[in-house]
Amino acid sequence: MPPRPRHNPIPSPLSLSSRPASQPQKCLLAHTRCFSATPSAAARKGEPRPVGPSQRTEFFNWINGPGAVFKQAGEEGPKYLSSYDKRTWERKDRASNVPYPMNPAFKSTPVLSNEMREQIYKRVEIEGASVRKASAEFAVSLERVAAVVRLKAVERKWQNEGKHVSSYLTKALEQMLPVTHFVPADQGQRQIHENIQELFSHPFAGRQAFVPTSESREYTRVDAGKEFGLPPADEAVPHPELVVAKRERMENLSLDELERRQAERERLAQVQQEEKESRAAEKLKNAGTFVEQGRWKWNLKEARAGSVGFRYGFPHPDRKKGHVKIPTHFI
Amino acid sequence: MRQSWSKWNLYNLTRQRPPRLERRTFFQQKWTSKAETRAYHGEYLTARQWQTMFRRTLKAVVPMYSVDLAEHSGAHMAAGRGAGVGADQGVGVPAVPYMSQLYWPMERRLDIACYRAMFAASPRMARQFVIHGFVKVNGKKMTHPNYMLNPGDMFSVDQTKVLYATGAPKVGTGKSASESTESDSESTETPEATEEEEGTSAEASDEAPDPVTPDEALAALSLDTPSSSSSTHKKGDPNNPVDYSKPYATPWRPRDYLPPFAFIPKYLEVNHNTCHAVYLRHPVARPGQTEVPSPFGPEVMQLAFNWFLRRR
Repeated sequence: MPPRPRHNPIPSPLSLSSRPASQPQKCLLAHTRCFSATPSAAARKGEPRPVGPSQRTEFFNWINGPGAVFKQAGEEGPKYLSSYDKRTWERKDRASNVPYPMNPAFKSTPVLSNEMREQIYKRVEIEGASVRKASAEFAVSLERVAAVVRLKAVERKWQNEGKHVSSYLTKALEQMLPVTHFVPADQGQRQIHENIQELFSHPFAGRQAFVPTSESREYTRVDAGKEFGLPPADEAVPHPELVVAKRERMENLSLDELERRQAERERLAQVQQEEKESRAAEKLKNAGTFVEQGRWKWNLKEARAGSVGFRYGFPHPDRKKGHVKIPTHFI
Repeated sequence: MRQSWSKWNLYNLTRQRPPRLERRTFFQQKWTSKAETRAYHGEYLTARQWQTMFRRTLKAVVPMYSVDLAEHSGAHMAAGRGAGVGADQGVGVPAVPYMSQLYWPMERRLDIACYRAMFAASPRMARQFVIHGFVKVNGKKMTHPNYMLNPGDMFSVDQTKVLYATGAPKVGTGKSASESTESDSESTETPEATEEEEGTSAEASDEAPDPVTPDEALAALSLDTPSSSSSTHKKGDPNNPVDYSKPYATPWRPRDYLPPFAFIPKYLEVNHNTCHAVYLRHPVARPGQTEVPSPFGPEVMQLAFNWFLRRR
């Protein structure tokens, strides 16, 4: 392509006719007006300004050349920009899961395969395992297991209603995304989807504490938890029962003893749960009658005059010093 | 550069350079970082809208392991010279990129969540889906794109709309009635650009001949059973038949240049079979990793974060 001059005013009879050579060029047409009467540095030297290919041309060169690999998914798995060399646009030996090359802190993490989701749903909904148990078995976080069961329940409902299920969309996306596949127990080791023991970093623990202790003292997680007003990490993780089970396994106990302890723990948990439910039911029973009207739900309680409590006409003490109604801290 | 799956955007991602911050004052550095990141993260929101969403508190998690918790009481962390036994010798864990979490409240917005779940080609398209009433939250129609999702919320987008957003566009139909309603910038794209059409592909595919003859269209309309129409295409998935009434190319196939943009953040669980998704929790940072998708590195985000602290 021949080099183009920067300004290419249309030769008009007005501008060409009566202009002395010494006078600076005057632009008479509005659409070709130059805002500076001084010619550019390159023009003063008498050289035309070099013009490269336009950005639009460069885009098409890239998209039809090296960029064409990104058009559709292939056999090689996810295709992110970082998996390709920036100069040669050849695929690197080690594929990267970083979609944005300038931000290595964001990585594309695996998603559950459809088969895995089906298995989780089966385990919880058909075989009756608890969400907690399924989470530990599949190495999938508690919230995710619960969400998978909800989503699969919707899918079953759609199938029963004869609605269209776009399985081809899921299949197409599984080719583009990193995927955690289901591996049956007899066919090798399961794939770990995510760390299920992630501890939320509580704002209470963000402060610096200087606690003087004797050198001989063993300062443990429990002590640290007390200092910050938090439960120790062993209890605060999503699966504290896995920590207990691991600890017992390290004690070299017999299998019978392990099973007995596990059964005892499960029994205690069951009793606690039942107690909690009965307490909630009791509370609801004594809560008075409920009357629902549109947006409102009225709770009608029996009132007795003269009993201790709220007295009509007397101010509440909640504005007094020391009566703080807003919770000052919570865990 | 925009949040979008367009090929133009992909090209711009390859050309991305860090903002030029050297020999500039701290104020200028913060201003540039703020301007660049805000132009990408929710550029259709006003500054005031974002400032009310902005949160100084950033969330993170600490990875724990059952074996470590069972083996150690944690006393070794308190021993030594302050950072635990051997902490000054070995390689520590990578730093938590807290600053990359800057735009996490944005990820709570319904329109952005729909885009992250790969239900729409851009947040603007997702926003249109929400406003036009194709999005439900917990089974109820939600027409406000600024709805802030809460942990456990289930949202869904109309399946046809998702297939339209993720699928290849109809070719050669010109501006049909279904396409003209979707006045999104993606619909004018030309996915059929090939090597020989270099430079002129944009014009060439607009004038591509209509591959659907009237006879075929009539046949497809009269025989709407999937088995009869699926015999016309080679893959033969009875679930994915030829259907000319759809606003996308049928049988459905993914749109071009989708793979480099294909990721689903960890805080979402998505079922594309029914186009439903669950917002599990707020996005968090963990050592060396953030859950907020962004093309900007932690350094730029730190400067932008400092801008929004309003202590400038």
